[in-house]
Amino acid sequence: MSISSQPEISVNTNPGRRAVSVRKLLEIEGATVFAALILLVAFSSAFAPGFLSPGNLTNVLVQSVFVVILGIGMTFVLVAGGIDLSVGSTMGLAAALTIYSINHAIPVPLAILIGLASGAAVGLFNSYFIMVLKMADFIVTLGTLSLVRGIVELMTANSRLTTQSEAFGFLTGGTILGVPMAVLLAAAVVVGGGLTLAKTAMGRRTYAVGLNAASSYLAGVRVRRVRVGVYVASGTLAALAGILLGSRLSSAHPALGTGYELTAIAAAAIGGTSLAGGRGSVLGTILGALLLGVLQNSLSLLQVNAFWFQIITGLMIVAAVLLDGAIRRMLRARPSQ
Amino acid sequence: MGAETATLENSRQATSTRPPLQGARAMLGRPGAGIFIFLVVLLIVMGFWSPVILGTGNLIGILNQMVFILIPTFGLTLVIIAGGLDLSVGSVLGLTGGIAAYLIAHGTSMPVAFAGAILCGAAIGLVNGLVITRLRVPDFVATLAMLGVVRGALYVWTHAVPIRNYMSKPYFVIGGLRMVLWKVSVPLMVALVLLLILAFILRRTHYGVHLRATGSNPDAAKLSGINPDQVKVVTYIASGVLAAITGILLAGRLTTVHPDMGSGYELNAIAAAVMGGAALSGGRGSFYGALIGAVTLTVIQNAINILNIDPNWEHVIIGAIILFAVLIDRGALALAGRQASAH
Repeated sequence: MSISSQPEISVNTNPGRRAVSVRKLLEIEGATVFAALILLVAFSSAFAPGFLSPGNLTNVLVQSVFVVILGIGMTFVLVAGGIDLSVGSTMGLAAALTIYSINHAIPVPLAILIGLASGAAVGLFNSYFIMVLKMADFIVTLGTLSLVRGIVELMTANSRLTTQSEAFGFLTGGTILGVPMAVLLAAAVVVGGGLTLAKTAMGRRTYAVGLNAASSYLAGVRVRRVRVGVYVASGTLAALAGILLGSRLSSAHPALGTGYELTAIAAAAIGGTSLAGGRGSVLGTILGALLLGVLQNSLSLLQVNAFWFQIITGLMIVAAVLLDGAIRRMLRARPSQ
Repeated sequence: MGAETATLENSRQATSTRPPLQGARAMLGRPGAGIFIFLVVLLIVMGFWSPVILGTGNLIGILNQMVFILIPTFGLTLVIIAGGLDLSVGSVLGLTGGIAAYLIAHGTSMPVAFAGAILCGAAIGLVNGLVITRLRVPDFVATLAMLGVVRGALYVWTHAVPIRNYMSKPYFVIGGLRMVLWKVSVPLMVALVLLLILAFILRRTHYGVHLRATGSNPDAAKLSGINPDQVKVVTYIASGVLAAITGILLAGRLTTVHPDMGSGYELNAIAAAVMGGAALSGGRGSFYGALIGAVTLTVIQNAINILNIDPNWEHVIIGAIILFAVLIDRGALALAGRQASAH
């Protein structure tokens, strides 16, 4: 997490120690995404009119919150060697349930808890099929994607769920000391998720299960518990993202959250998380999500056809994976002095 | 572990080109057998509910409608047997349909336009295959990126304006809007011909054996002289070509190519392939299974229509069937396995 020490400058000003510092830089997970993000921000500040205005920067942050939160859950699942395609639908379910509860005179905090619990329930459902019935993660979560989306459609199709609740709107509309509430919540998730994955025994077990489930089982890791845990975490975080999106829209529509699963996976992949399991970091995923958010924002400020976003995102995903592989090969080929 | 049994089952099939038929129970071990029984039961129940569903006209309607899911499912079945995954088929289908429509609207002759679309599909498949095998990018990531790039390219190229004014008399026939042979549409005939060719390739040719060997165990395949990378690249090219064929047919069916044509088809096709017994761990899958998977998906949509069920149930039911199809398939496999070990 020592990214914030801005090591870029030492590369240029100190050519004598160049090789060593570049190497140290590259060893930091997420360094390349960080560099790409800095470049993109510099480019946008120079060319995109109004990019640096506080209003726009706040907007970028609030827009990125959903992918950041989803991406952290996805990082846990991917690091443990799984994949969760159901998060977009879970967002819709949690938003619909929360707004439904608020409309039925349930206090807002309790309604939010109900929404979060529905996400955890989807996670439990996924892990039951994956762990107990031993089905492939991809298939199970593809099934839940459809199943949960159908439930959302049943809930919202005939009566669009809207709410005027101010307390609920405060989740995204309100600010504390000038910082939007949604950004604060996301920051809390980032710190909690990042520390759990990087610094706790639970985090180490997650990596171990993703690297080799069989040998971590032999080493005494409760593999099942870890994998149930990551799916419940992913479901709950998806629910949080959905509740925030519902609060921002002050409504839940049948397609709320559709397609977000692929954006979350893209953010994780750009941030250096391996889809084969065992590698990845919360920090990388956040940088990947911010990169996508800034890109989308500056393209619209530059009035570039919005559809270029998809093309550039696709190319960036492949470039990130290739660069990551190349750097690791280089580091392996030239071990440090 | 279901996946392991499946792999074993297939390596056994891979070693003898012609698995001996051991009566009806051995058929249960075939991919898609479980879902076939499910489909039959489903049809009977539906038939009692509303006899219209089992009418010849309706059944052929289901088949005519199913084609646009079935042909991309063939591509996915190929890729999945080789141990890969192709998320880009929906986008490829849209782009190639757009290319065919655009070329015809601008005066190109129909065969040339179709050839152009198919070449484009093959080229995208080739890029997928090379990025995956040469650059070692995981299948999911590479084809997810391609999904975005191709869909974005279609939008940027068309400026999000639908392509029109390309329909002609023969294209109405090709799109299945006008029948030439009783009630059977041209797309359905194309799909059935493809089914026979692909099933023949899988069961009766060296490539089919190499394909299953690559998916079951790429390292072992390599040691026995197979080039797994080459086998895989071919499956991605085939998947691109099959998506392009679907795009051409669907452009004829819809008479307008919207830039979001085919989006989301990849997930339906994966669902149909898996329902048909394809295992994402590789090595196992069947084109007849794919047919049954695609028919099952379409029967459900059709039944919801005819029985006047709230259409919002569709996703719930399909999700539940995806979850249970694998269990049904495994149940059938277990029954067949018990039979085999008794011999």
